[in-house]
Amino acid sequence: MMPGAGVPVLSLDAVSIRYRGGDGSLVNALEDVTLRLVAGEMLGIFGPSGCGKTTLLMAAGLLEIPTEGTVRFSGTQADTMAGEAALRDFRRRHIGFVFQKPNLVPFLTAVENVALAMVIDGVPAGEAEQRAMGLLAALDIAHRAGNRPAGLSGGEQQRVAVARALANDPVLLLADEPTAALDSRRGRQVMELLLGIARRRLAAVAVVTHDPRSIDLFDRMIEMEDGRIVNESRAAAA
Amino acid sequence: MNYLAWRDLSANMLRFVLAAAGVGFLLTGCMGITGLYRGVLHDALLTIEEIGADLWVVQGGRAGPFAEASTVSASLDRRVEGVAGAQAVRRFVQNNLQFEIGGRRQRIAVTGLDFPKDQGAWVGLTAGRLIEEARGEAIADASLGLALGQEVRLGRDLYRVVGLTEGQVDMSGDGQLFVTVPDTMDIADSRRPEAVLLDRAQGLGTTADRPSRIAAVIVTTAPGMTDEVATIIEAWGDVAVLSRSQQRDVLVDGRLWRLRLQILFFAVLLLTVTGVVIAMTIYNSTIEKLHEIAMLKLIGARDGFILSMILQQAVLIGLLAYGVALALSVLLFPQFPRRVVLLPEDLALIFCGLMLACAFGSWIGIARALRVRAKEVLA
Repeated sequence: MMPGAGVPVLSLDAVSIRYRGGDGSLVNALEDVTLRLVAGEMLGIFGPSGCGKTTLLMAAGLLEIPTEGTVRFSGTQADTMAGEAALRDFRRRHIGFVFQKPNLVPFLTAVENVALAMVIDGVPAGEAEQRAMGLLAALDIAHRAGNRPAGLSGGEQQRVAVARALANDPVLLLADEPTAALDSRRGRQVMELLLGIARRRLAAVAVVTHDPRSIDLFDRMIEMEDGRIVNESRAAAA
Repeated sequence: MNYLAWRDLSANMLRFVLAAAGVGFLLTGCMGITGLYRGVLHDALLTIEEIGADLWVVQGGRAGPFAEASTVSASLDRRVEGVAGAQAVRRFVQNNLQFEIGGRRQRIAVTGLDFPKDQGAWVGLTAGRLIEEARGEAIADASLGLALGQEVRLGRDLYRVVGLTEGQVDMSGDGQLFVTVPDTMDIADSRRPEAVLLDRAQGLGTTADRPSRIAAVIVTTAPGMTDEVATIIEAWGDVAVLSRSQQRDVLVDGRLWRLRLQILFFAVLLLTVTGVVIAMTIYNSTIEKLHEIAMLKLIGARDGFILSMILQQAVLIGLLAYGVALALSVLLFPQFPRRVVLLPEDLALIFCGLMLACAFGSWIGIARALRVRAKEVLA
């Protein structure tokens, strides 16, 4: 069930993530980060390499449990869930991921890749593939449904990856440099696609990017440095 | 079936088939070696099971005539006939000899039939007839390559093949040739003329001087009298008595136990190699998919989903390999020079061993897959 526009989806409160480096020293990957994300909003996360962008995405996606602070989804604290299985169940039902590389399963066709996310949520294979076809059609890639990833272009693969991320109607979509491997035209298309998802499906979308060309598409941008949010600005959405 | 397992296999069909074929060949070896042991056992027990004897009277202190040498008096059968409860008494003799047949030197197990009491009804003719003459007739196993009506020279005399059997071989796999007991003695005693002359010169040339070649006397007892007859004969002191089951045990637990142990060792070795091959195949296939496994975990797949994919692939390889092994066994084993017997219980045992090997193989892959973390996709 999608929340209404503007309803808080994700809240990170004073989140810090620390770990021991190879030389035994303490590394502050994320330091006292507080962030809110609401339904229908697209957030851009900028910053130099190693500044903590991906770690922030991991904390938001419940892939990394904070050393300090809390992660809440729609007001419910999520980072205290017992066990990896519970976290995975939560991710499956509420969070979608898109990466720089599409990370499609090479021996599955496009439609099977999308259906996979539903099948592991217990949807029967036939029904899952039917719904996956609908998603591929919505992203204008249905005509390539029977192709394996090796037979698709980079842009087509990324569209299939977006379709897979949407398979279980997530309230939060996390994208880690989704346009890095694409040319500017295809990169722009993917960013517009993510914005469309935020607007039409009322999902909260967070995009880690180095690419300034799509800056006009974000509702809000944060800039990170040394594990901290050092700047936050609102931009005019298209 | 797991959504991914079959799709992965069908996308990599050649590799899957090659892996299954490799495991199948190993299993064929496993089935072959087990079947060979069963075949040797079958051949070893063939005469004991089919000759219809309840008791074997052998040389005192011996467990012959199959497990060790045994010679009894040529007239022992008449003594045994006098025991109350002894219904049918026959002399038994078997010699492994080599003869030139059709330009080829062949080993033959020459077995004596105590004609006319025994015409060979128990040998299971596939063609021809039983022995009807006291001299010069033979029933031959098909493995000897003799034709019905063919005359073959064994020693000094010619023997005409009047009947044929199939699969009548001894423990060594030598085809049996059944002739009457006196003919068996003549064939075994066949000497060069010079040897006969030398014996005569020493006054040893007569038949009476020839040593007995009777290995045992076999007794069919009246119903319920077996133990009683055995006790009476045993009490004579000069002979030993073995029941049919004792004779069987002497062979299986005595003469064949080393072979049995060796074959068990080879079967276990082959199954272990099979397990290692399956483990390597599944482990390599899992290693190749670590990124996809991390991806699956990231999008929320439970461990059970990933484990069932790995396990099902291992079992599918195992099942296909078992099919390959069965097909090869049916095609190849009948061409082997020795009998290979595939018993359902042995096949079931090999199947269980294979499934264990599959479980072991997939366990290694599963252990590796469980260590993969979802966030590795982002690394």
